[in-house]
Amino acid sequence: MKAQNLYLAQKYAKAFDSCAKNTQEAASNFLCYQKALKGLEQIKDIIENPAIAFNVKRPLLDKVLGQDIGARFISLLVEEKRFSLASAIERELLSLLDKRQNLARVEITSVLPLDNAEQKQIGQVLSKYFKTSLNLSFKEDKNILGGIIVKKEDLCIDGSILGRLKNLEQALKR
Amino acid sequence: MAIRPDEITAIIKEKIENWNATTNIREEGQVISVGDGIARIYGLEKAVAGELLEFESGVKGLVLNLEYDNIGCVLMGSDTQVKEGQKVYRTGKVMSVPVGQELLGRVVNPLGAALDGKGAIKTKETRPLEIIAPGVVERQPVNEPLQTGLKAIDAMVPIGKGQRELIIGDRQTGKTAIALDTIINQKQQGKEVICIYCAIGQKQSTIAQVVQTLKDFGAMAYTIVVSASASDPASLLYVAPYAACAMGEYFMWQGRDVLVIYDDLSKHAQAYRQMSLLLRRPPGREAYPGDVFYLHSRLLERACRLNKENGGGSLTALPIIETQANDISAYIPTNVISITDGQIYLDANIFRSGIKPAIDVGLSVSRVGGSAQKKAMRKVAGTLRIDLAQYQELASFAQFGSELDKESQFQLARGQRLTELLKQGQYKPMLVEDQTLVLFAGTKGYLDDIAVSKVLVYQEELLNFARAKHASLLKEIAQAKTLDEKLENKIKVVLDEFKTLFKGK
Repeated sequence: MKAQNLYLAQKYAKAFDSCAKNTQEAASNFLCYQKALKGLEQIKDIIENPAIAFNVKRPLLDKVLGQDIGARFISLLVEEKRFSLASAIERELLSLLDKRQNLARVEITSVLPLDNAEQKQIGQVLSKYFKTSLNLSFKEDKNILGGIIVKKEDLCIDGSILGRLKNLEQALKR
Repeated sequence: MAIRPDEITAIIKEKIENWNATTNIREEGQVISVGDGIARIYGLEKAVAGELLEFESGVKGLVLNLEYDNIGCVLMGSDTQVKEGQKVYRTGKVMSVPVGQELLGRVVNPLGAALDGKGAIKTKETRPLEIIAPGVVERQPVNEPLQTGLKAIDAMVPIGKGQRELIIGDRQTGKTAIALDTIINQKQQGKEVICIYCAIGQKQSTIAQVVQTLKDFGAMAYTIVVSASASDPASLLYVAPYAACAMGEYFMWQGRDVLVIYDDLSKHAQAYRQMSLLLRRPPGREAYPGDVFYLHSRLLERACRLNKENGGGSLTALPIIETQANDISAYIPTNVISITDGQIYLDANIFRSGIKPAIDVGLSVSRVGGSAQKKAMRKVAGTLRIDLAQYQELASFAQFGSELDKESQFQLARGQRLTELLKQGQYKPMLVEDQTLVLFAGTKGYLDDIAVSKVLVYQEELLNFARAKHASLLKEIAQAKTLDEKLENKIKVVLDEFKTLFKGK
């Protein structure tokens, strides 16, 4: 079931994303979608209630959301009974937008918080390495003992002391 | 020699000091679920089918299913060390096995690790497990015989180098015995054939026995035993024949002749069925997955005879299939029969009536071996098949006890003697010239006035006589391109001479 949801979310997200002519428009569309989703939070119970017919929900949606593209898209989701996919679609839209903007999300883990100069330095090195612009997020974890771990999607660059010790353990086992 | 404790410490110290701390750059995913030797993995979007994955615990896995949001992978080891949430890394490599001379005389598992306690095997090369078989341009027709040393097979269902000949029959009908005899016989041949015995899903005790037999007959020197026993995970049973084939291909590309025995492919298909069902692939006939034909066809297609430009090596495959209650029309037997270039069918009833090897002449064929057979042997054995077929038909008819005419009685007598002549003890392979001589005697009627019970005595004494007094004749038969009248007459003279001697006793 999960795979099917993901598949559907990708289909909807792709359709919504392709409505935009250029990257800028796609970004503003995405903001519209996010705003509409947020605006719906107070009437979420009504929207998600399957006992209430769509023609009852419709005027309510129009009143709360207005008429921009994000609102129209959400109305469509409600009509098609796919509103439960909304958050999955949001994730997919974000990744599509990242692709348009040639942007990679990278998570960096270190033992102690890094200062601004260090963050900047790391960002420069990594954007050269990945050949994209980066959206960096920083995290602290005492368990890695030292060094940093860089994670971009599945790719993991492990420069931590913990990782090196594990490597040594494996080598000694062999 | 005992190892001193400080030696070990020194080694470890050295290892730590020389330890090159590199940064790991790799793709990682997570284990969603694990059980029954199967793991499902989240992430690793770029992983490809057939790729090798490494789990945090060091266990390896093989990617088989690529699904929308997860990867289905079989574990090449124990699944007890793999836990939910553990990290999994891509290796970017397909599965491969170590290959080389160093493997000869060893017992290894399908990953190439030693099982015989003789220390680690350090080979220089590895070969990928799954290779597309050599194409048409790289091959030449099968035209050289591979002698099994068994009269019944070399005469009636001859096997050529590069052929795929199926050995099929119920349990306990001597399938493995034929394979072992063939391995042992390669010792007598001039240019040694490298033999690989691949045990799939067999009892450890049986494998130990096979290894011991090969050692006793001095055949281990040119043999590799690849063992995936019944207690190994299904994934190892699945890769075992491909590993054995890859090891053989190394020698083949070096211009050597190789013989690979897959014992047996029914258990291989069962292991694959287990994996496929656990991976939720849809079951088909007898619950085997849809690609079970391809499973065996891609393996057996790798048997081939390379042409001169490619070194002229060959890889002969002798797959074994175990049938249930003589049913050769079950799914796997029919599949493998249609893939191979012929089959040797062993019948339980024939076995019980004391005819060993228990080959059913009617159902056994060799589709390409005929052209590979030695010309002299071909001429001698030409009428053998027909004689035996006629005899079998007549024998079942004669059971009713009616009076038979002279012609039929003659055919019966001839058939009985030929059947007796084709009996052969285990581990007693015969040279091709010896076979030719005794079969010549049988088909030309030299046995007709000898009691059936004396036929094997006749054979033994004839061979002793020929070796002692006419060694040059045996040599001539071995080297003869064809059995011409001149040679035939020479043989006849010897047989006549022996006949008077034998009768005089």
